[in-house]
Amino acid sequence: MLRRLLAWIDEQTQLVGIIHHFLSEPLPKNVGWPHVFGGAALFMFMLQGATGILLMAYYSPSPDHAYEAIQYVSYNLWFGRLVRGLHHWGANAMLLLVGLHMLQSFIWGAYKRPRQIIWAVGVCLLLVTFGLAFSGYLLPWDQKAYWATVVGTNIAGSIPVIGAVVRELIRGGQGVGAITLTRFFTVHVFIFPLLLGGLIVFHIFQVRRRGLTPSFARVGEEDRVPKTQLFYPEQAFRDALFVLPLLVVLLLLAWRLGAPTEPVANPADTAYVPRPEWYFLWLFELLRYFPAQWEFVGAIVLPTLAVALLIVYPYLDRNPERWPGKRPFSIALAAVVFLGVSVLGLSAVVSTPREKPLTAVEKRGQKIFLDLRCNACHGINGRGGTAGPDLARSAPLKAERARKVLEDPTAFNPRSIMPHYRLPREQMDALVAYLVGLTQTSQMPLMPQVGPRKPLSHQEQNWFLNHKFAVLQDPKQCAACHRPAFCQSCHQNRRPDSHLHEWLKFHQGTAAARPAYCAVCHERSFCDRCHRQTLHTGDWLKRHPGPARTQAKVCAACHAQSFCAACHRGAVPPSHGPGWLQQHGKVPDTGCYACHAKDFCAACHRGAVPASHGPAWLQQHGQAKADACSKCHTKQFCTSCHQGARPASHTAPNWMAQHGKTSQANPKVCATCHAQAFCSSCHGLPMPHPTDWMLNHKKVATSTTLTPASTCSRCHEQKFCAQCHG
Amino acid sequence: MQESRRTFLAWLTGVIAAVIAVLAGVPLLGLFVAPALKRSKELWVDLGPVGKVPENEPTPFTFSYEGATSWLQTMVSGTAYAVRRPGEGIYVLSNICTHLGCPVHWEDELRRFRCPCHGGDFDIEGKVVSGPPPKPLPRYAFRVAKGMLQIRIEPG
Repeated sequence: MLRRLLAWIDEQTQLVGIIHHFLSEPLPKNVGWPHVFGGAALFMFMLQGATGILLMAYYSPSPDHAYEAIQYVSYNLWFGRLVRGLHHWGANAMLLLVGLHMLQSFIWGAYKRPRQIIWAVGVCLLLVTFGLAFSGYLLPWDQKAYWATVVGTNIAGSIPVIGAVVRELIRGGQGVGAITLTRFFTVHVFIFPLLLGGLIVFHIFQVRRRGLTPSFARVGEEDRVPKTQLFYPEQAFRDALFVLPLLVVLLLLAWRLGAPTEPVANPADTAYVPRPEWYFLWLFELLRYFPAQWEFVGAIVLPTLAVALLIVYPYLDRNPERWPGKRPFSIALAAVVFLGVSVLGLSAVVSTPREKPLTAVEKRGQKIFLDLRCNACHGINGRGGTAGPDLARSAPLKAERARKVLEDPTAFNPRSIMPHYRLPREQMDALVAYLVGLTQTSQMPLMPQVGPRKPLSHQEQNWFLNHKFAVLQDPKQCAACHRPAFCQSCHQNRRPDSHLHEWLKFHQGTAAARPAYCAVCHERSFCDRCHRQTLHTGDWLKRHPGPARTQAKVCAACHAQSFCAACHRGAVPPSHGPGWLQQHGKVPDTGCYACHAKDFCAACHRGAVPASHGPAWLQQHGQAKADACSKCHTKQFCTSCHQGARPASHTAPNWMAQHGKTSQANPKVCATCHAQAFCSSCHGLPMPHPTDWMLNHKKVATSTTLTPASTCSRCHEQKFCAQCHG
Repeated sequence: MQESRRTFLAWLTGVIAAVIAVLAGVPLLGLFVAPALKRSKELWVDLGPVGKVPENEPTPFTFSYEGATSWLQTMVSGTAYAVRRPGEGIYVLSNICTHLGCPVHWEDELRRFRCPCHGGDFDIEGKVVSGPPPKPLPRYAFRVAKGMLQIRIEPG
């Protein structure tokens, strides 16, 4: 089937035959494994193209979205991290392979006649590959991208006279910005790949035309080496066998490490230490050895001369020998350049500050550091918040002091705005270990920042410190985006400035005047936590003694003891002198009601009984003088108990029959517990009978509508009437 | 001998190339289809008071919700027709034509939903009456919460 399909395609296009002919290139017998780098570099170019096209499908070349897009691909899409990692590590591998391919070609003398142009094109391929790497730098728009581009374009700016113009042309303006990004994007995804592709085609075409150089054969004697193998399958097999483990390694690197991403580009960050990738380190280090006015020599002149020398070297080197032993000058030159680049690169690596690896405990501490959002206020070597000290640059902390600062920052600085942290011991230990272990090489951990960008107002310098003023000014603006839980995520550990000092005493005024201000940070249920039982509304003054006794802690949250004393002790009349509380029960009641309602007594005496109410009081209280009771108690107080349980005096079998006599003899005794309405509720008449009753009783006794005759019979028998009426 | 060796090498090279293609191709294909496989949480969007839906009169409601496609969050708007039928209760129809996605509208005189693009007609229940649409108008899952008609959206 496949053969028939290929035959049909060949018949239609002759492509199969052309490809077959192209791949069946006879190779000298001594071509082998050292020649796999070229094929591997070609594979890397294809891999970069494929991964790059996919990444481009998700990328947005604007400073507003580039970083988010990269983060989105890395953290939110399946295989995104892997593909981006492949692109990153593939770029490194491609540069390495192109370099190795050149080195191998140089050592093998493959650049010599008649293949000088192949070598020159190879040098151009190296340059374009460098260009791709450099232009790809900026696209993630992270710190490294931004600063590498700033430094890289400034190198172009060091050219005398025209440097500034060249730099502006590259950047598309004076600074690195949106146009720089779109320019680099265009160059990276369009111009350089096209250029590279064209050069590769030309390079391979020339190789096919001239054939691979027989290893170490003298110029002019290549034909003596027999061609005993074909490119396909012999060399193609070697290439494939080399590429397979290489791809596996790249996949592993991409899987384990991903593509390193730094925090989003921040031109205001003065603490960032820009370091290029390993392949530019030698140039970076070289520039250190040139004074400022000669910098362009190191940055422009020397590299340009080196490239020019590389291109023309095949034409300068007339030595027909290819065996390294017979080319001492060329090999020595290559060794010097290789060693020089390596030493410069290594020197830059050594001089780069390295982050100390974290222990397991410190890693736990780092997680707690982020969970508590310490980074919102504190920076680590220039990254993070600026409200608090940079923890890696401040004075070294001892563990014990760090612990105390975390637990009570105000103990060290009364004006500290830092929250108090009461963590479980293990968590506190881990956090302290992390903080104590911070050094000048420590880095703020990278966190994905996918999500809506902060509004412009939040980009202002010191926004974090100033946000309270925005809340005060227009709380609804905050509430438009943030739920109260957002505020609480920080403020549950630290009260806002407005809530310090005597806030609880006065918060009711703010809550009443500006409810929206409270609603920014607090749900309604927050108020209910305290106020459900103690709402200070309506008759609160009358009710307050009860909650004051049962929920003293709630009162104490807002009120000091002196608050109660302001009323209860401050305005006492001269009569309420020392010992008053002990004596007040003996005072005649007439004076009390001038100032106090009767339930004033109940406010205290509900829990604390007066001295007269001794242990057997309940049994004896029925014999108390009614006047004395009414000093403190209303009639409802009696009925609150006696509604169900009659007092002892009322338990006689004929009490109902007798009670009229008792009430007539001493009406005040009844009045102790009963209001006038109590009598009439049974008698249906005003009781005791009014003074003119004798004159009017006939009308009542004979009436059947208003007061039935049976009303009289409730208390009087028939003979009672006969006593008078005969 | 030489030919059989080359055949074997060619075969082996093909196998290795296939492995390479699979190793590199799976992540690439995976990333390509990843957004299509990404499922977002369903969302209940308010249409309006359910009492505003009269009997036998498809009532258009415009709704909008915050949609997060990729790294951008945007407001997405749409229209749905709520219909109350005697004995059948309420149902909510999408106004997107099942032919090529144009927005249909209710023609009160014709008592039909009409697509302005290719003349597709749907009856009050969303069934195809005439024209090229292959399927009835989709119905939204809906609920009534505190007197408010809500439909279920799956933001893309």
